[in-house]
Order: sequence, then C-alpha cells, then structure tokens
Amino acid sequence: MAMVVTSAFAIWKGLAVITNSPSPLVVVLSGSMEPAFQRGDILFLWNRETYVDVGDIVVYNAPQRSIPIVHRVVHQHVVEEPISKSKKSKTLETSKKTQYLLTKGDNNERDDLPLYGYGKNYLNREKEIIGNVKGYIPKVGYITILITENQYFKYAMFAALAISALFSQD
Amino acid sequence: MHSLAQRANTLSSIITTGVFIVMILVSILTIANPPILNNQIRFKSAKPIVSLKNTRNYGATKQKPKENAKFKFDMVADFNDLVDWNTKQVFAYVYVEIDNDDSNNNDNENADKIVIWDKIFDDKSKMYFNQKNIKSKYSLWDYSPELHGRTGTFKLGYNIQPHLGPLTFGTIDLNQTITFPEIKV
Repeated sequence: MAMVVTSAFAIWKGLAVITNSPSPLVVVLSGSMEPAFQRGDILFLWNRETYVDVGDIVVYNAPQRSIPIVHRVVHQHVVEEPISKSKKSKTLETSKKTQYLLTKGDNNERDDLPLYGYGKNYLNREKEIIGNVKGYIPKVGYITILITENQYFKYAMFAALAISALFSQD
Repeated sequence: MHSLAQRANTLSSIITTGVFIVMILVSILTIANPPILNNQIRFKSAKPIVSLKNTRNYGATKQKPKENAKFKFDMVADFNDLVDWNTKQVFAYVYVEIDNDDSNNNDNENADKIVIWDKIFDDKSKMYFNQKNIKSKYSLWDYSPELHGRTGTFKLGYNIQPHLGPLTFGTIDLNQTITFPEIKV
C-alpha cells in the first residue's frame, strides 16, 4: 500500500515538473464550460508557454476561492511595465512584459469579472494561471466528486476498504 | 484466493491503462492528421459604434471611463471540414486584434486581442453558418482607455472539442481592418 501511495505521489510530482503546472491533472467541478466540459471530466494541463492566446481554455485559482476554475480566455493584453526599483534585480532590464487576461465560461452569460473580486479587472498569466488545457478524458474523474461531495459514498468506500482489510489473508 | 481489494485494484488499473492507451492513440491520430479549414470565410463588418462607459461591466470605473465598441457584421462560414468521428463540438469565435502604439506592429503576440462574438456548433448536421446583421455579443474594451483612431483587424478562431483526446485550435484572418471612429454622442 505504501508503495502505491509513494509511486502515485512521485508520478504526480514528475508530471508537475514536466508540465510546469502545480496541478497537471484537474477534475472539472462546475458546469460553467458546458457543453465542452462536464462535471467529472479530467483535463490535462500544460503550463510552459510564456503567453496564452484568446480562445485557449485555462485553469486559474481565483482569489478568495480555493477551487481551481476552468474558463476560456476572451481578452489578452501584453503590457510592458517598469520593474520597481526597490527590487534588486541583477539584470539590466528596466521593464517587464506581463500578460493580462480576462476569462469567461462558455455556459455563462458574461465574463468572470465578478469572480475576480472588487477592483481586479484582469488575471495575471504568470501568477494566477495554473495551466492551459491540452486534452481531456470525459467522466472518469467523477469518482473524486462522489468522494468529496457525497458523504455516504465516502463512508461506504471506507467501510468496504476496512472490511476487505479484515478478511484479507496477507 | 483473491481479496476484494486486489480485485478492485486490478480492475481499476486495467481501466486506467486502457483509457490512457486510447487517449495516446487518439492523440497520435489527431496530431498526424490535423483538421484544417479549407474553404474561404466571407465576413463583412459595418463601422463600429464607440461610446464612453463608466461601469465595471464595461471594464471601467466612474473615475476612469473606458471607450467601448460594438459591431454589426455579416458572416458566411462552413465548418464541415473540421468535423470527424471524434468531434464533439466546434467552438468558433470572432476577435479583434488592436494594433499597439509601439512601432513593432508585426509582433502578433503583443497585439491586444478581444473576443466580440462566439458560437458553439455541436450538431454535426448544422455546421454551415450564414447570417446577416449579427450583433457583437460582447462589448469591446481595451486595456488602455482609448479606442478612437486605432485600427483593428478581425480574426476568426476555432477550437475543436473531441469526445476524448487533444483539443485542436486554429485561426483564420478575416481580411478586414477597421479604424475606430470618434465617440458617438
């Protein structure tokens, strides 16, 4: 059992390094991207592009919300901003390009401005985007939704594990 | 002989392996034979209407109003080329690329891009689109507050959503450039 857990953890962290995304696989939790993605679909993320494009589907952590949100990019701006002098940077560059994004769920009437919180008009590509959706498997992730949202399913699963442990012979 | 846990473990590992193998095969097939839109798209937009907005719904605040633009356009497009056995839907969107003031306009990455209209095609028998006087679904505002005098180019993007596997993206130039007019009072 320990083997399974450690190897799963190692694969997960390895994927995170390859894709440069802290969470390379994501389960869709809301219906806001229907019909493209439904609840329980598993998404494969990639996070190595410097900039994402309009039309791309990205996953971000909204401020004040703990769950990742999967939505489509509808505005993109690359803005050149001066680097503040207080930071001692070794490079000679005095300005830095930052990409700002506005997102929207396909199934939502309008964009995500209300999700960002008051006074925040854009997402920062570097700081807030966890990954860009590259591919997906439908429905398989629904089991995690069952475990997290349905307490009876959770208890039933624990009970089944406990009973099988009692009766196993190794 | 075999415990319940072992059986469950074997079953889940077979399912996972199977799904991943199918996923990899489908990805190879899609990448080896990417769908391309061959036919020309006909697109014509009327002159946009620019107005000054000062609410958050239009990217602005009371203190910092922003110029917003709305459009009316005609479009004829046929997305049948993009459909194959693994297509769940085609998400088509029209966006405007606004030229930046800084001289290197060829740098596509730095142009501001704003989606003004989109449509989901999820019925394989209705991939042909022909409509006149379409109103832009989303108001256009830029990062910087001013629009008038700047030029914008129309582009069509599409995202093919499969039943399983990789997402495919594409862009087509709609061959129209407009200059944003002065604010309509």
